[in-house]
Amino acid sequence: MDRQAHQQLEQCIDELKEGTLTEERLHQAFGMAPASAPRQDLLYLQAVTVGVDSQVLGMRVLIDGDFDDGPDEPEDWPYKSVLEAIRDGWRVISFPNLALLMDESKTYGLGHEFILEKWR
Amino acid sequence: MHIHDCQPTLTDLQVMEFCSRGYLALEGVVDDETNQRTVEYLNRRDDSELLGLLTEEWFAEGVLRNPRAAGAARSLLGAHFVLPHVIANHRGKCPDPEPVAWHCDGYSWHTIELKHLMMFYLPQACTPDMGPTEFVPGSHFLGGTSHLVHHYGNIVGTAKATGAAGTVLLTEPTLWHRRSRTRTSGPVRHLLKYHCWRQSPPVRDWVIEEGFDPAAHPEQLMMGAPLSYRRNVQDCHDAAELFLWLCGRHDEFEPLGGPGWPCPVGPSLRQFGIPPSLQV
Repeated sequence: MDRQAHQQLEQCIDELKEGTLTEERLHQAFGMAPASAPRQDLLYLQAVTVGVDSQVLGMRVLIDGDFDDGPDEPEDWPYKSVLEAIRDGWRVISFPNLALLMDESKTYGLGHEFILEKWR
Repeated sequence: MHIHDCQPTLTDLQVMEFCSRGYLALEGVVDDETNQRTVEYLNRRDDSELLGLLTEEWFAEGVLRNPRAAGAARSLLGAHFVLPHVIANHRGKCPDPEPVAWHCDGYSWHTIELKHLMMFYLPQACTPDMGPTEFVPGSHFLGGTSHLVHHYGNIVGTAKATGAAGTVLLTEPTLWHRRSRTRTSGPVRHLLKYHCWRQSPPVRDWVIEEGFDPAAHPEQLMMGAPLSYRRNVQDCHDAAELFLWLCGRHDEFEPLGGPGWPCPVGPSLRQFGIPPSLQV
């Protein structure tokens, strides 16, 4: 639930306790609720190592249902490390699979992939 | 099956570059007349008629047997290599804002044995805005299938297949590639793709420059930051193994670790562990 909806709910509860809650007030409160369920944004970051502070080598983001590969030039990418993304409110939901990293002579894909989420 | 032989044109350094990066670009090697005839042919026909292009003598002479392009293929594939029996045109609409996903072509697998080359030919000039094919240098050493890399977006250090009309690129078949975003409107971008195959065992019979010491250039085998997606010594290791295989000397590849060959160590005394056939 977003902050605005939560505030509306708290106010309605207060009014109920005071005996001043009305049908009209409830319609007003529900009318301000999000029209649809919260949606997930995803951020794929491939990094040099498993450390969240290591340099990002690749990125792709899913925002409001649409993919974006980000700016063409790496120096213009929004995040240079996973840590920067975390500080910007992204939440890590998948860490690199360490089982794939045990043999340095075999690298699969770009190696260390983090997947992060935000909700809108 | 058409077999071709010609003079190899690549030097040791160029072969090393191919080994480390997985591709080599030959800018504008096909003549303008052939380029124009190719574009006209492609604009007048749909893709079901492309096989006819392989039988046109002007195309075979100008592109498939082009001295520079074929000489490079000959350097990497050895004598009497096989010319293509199929050819594809990756027509790129301009604009077409959606990039094609990263992938490596089907029926290719990661191995140091270079048995065929994937060749690209640009019959017209291609700029970055036209959505050229882009490659991830060194990805021929990165394992995984197209399913693993399909979702990747932009990647540091990618190289774009841009260049003047007549540019030919030779690539290792497992190199990751995709069509990049277009940012312009205009005619269709044509990109012809074909394969050539090895018939002869590998041997170091390309252009060997007098006085050149291949063991003195291990840095040529290293991708280097920021292009390396692994510890860069691993890139050097794999590129050196491929180079020795192409020399026909894979049995000499016994890396010893530490600052031994092929680990690039900067200015130093003669490096330890140089394969016998590379010692000048």
